[in-house]
Amino acid sequence: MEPDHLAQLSRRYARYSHSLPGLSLALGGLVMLLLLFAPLFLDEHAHVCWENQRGLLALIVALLLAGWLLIKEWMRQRIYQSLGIAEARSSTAEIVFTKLLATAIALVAFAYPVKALAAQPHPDPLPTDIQIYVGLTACLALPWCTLRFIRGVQEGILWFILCFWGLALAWIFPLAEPFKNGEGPLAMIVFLTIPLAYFGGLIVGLVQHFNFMRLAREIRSQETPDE
Amino acid sequence: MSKTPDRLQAILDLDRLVHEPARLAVLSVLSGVEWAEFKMVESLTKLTKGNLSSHLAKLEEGGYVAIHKGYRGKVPQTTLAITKKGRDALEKYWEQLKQAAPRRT
Repeated sequence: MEPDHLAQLSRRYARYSHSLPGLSLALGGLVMLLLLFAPLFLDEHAHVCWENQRGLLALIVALLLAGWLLIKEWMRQRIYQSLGIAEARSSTAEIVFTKLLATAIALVAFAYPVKALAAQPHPDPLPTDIQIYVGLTACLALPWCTLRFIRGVQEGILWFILCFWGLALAWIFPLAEPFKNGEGPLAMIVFLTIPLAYFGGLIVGLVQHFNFMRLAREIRSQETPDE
Repeated sequence: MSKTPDRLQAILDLDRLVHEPARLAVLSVLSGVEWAEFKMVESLTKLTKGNLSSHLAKLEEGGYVAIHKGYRGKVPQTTLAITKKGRDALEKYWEQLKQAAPRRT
């Protein structure tokens, strides 16, 4: 057994145990697709106007984001931490990136509700709609979720897209309006990039997962050091 | 002057705390991470729990490894990390081993 090889194995394992998303990247791509098609599906089947669906859509968005976080953590514990937990040595760039990401998500999380509240036809100093408070709580929780659960650049980028798009759906319907007809440059961009991002995430996620399985096999086949 | 006395000296100067194979394996595993759970080091080194504990105790005594016992939820968790002193000792060990190795012509 070569000690250098051992250090390399532990380094590789720690990256999965700590930050590489693996299968959760593929799952995140699926959540992205669901977020894209949720308003279209609701519009098709609920037969109610968009304004009335806001609460339902916000709930679906919140459940999808929370569900992804929970499944991601569950998969990390059951698969990528199956041989024990280790934390990879983070570079300064990674630490700075996570903090910037949390700041960006905090800004987005505050910007959407503020814009939505400002656009209310009869703004009250204290809105009585419970939905507003639930939505605001969810928005306030996002930066905390980022710092608590998101590790590494790939997860960070995916999480940012999910939050950005999810909040856009939940708070600002005009942004989603063009998707009903598939018109407008924004709709074109999103319709092209989200499926591409999904397939990209699926491939990268599966490659990472199979690499991890190979690594785990390699670790299990290690020999005992002479004592 | 021949290089042999230098090589001999390098061998004699090797840190015995690091030189032992099981402890070298533990330090090597920990050198690749910020910190690791006891179970992870056990998985990689293939040492038994008792053996690993005794080697860790020696490394902790030498100040090469920091051991933290706590809880993750309700489950007891032991985390291990190589200290700066341990990392320096490992680097120095490799340097000395290079000096001690015969040069191929």
